Amino acid sequence: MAPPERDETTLRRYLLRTLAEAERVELEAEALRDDAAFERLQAVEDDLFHDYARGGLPDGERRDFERTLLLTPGGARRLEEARAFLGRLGVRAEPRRAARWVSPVWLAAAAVVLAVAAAWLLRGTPAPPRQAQQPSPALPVPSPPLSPAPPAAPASPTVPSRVVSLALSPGLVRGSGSMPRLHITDRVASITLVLSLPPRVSGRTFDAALRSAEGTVVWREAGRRPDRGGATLTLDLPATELPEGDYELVLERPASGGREPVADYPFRLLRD
Amino acid sequence: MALRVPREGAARWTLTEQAFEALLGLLGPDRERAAERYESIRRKLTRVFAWRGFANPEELADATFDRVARKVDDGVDMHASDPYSYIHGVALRIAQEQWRADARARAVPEGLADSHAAGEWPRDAEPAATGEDVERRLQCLDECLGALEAGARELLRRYHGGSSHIADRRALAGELGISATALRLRAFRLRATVQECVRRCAERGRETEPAAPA
Repeated sequence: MAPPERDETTLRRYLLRTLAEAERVELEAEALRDDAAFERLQAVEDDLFHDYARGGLPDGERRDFERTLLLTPGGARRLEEARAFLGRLGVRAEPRRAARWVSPVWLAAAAVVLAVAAAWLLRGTPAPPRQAQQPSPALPVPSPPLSPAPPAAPASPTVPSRVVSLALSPGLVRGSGSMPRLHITDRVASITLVLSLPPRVSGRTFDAALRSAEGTVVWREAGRRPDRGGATLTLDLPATELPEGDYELVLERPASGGREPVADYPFRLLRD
Repeated sequence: MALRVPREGAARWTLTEQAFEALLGLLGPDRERAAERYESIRRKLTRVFAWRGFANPEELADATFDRVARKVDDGVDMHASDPYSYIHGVALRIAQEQWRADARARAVPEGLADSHAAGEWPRDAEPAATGEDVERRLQCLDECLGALEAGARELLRRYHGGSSHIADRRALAGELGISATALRLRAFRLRATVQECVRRCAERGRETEPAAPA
């Protein structure tokens, strides 16, 4: 007798590796024996790639997808193909959801670096472009929303501020109190982001894209090299072109068939 | 049909022609059908290993068959009526061994471990696509989507569009008078058709491409 059809949730949980081992084994045995069961799994897998490409996965599944299917051999290429397919089909991406995932690996580090370092020149002498303290993932500091660092230069009422810096770690919670915030005034011309790169991520160059809360890419820069030491990567954003709101800096690197995501860094920009 | 050529020079045991034939014998009395089953199970095992998070799923699928063939060749008695369970059991053992090997390798100081064990992102075996490749594939995608029936395109658009996947897909399945699973499979097969069309179109493009000057 044919085994009962598994429901979609179970298949998704199998693929996203959140199913109990005993059930995984049972399901695999069915799929090996039964072509129809295997095809149902493939169909759900393909749905997950397309749903992710469209930005339509709930937060939990999105996080699980990023640590499972996306990392399977050919996963990045499949994602690119899914994006191209949906784009050519005329399906629009969903606006990015408010809440974002928290990588378990990164929680600790995330908690940390927010503490960061924002070198903030209010009325000071124009600052050199790299004022942020280097983020230290090992720093045991709790993570309040970003608090501006003290002025890095003596105050001078005659010179407008120009650069604000912010150090970020990937995978922080969006829409919660722990989201890093950056307060700027209209006098700020440039925002320097110091991104803490995930450990063991190799890559000589990275592409960066800044997405608004609606998912629109508002700024992009390709081929950026990590800073000396390889633990961070520094970017300068044009502050004058960025309205107040939530953003996500997405870091990618070249991969066969396109690019593969490395990390993303959400933050909230507030104007005083 | 094309079968995997038994690997030669394996460290401790080599899959011989005789062992391979014994393996096929396990999969059925008709050699042709057994060979098809072998290919099908191998393809599935490869996916299963990938879904379990291994960066070398094809190798592990082959290792599974090598071990099963060895057992059969050694004369180990197994129920031919359900070779799937046996093969799956072996695959799970292989997975466990690989997982332990990876765990050991992870303990090796960084720089000495191989890239997979060190947690590097798995790299695709195929070479990176050039800009021309990408452009060609996009053109092919347009052509292949254009070749779909309008109804099929609309189905895909509605399947992937909408603000709520679950509710919208359920409603679409209701309109079509089919189950949600049947709708998912229909969309999957349509996408697979387009994908295959793109692959063939891109290959044709490469074949007709003028040779690069020496």
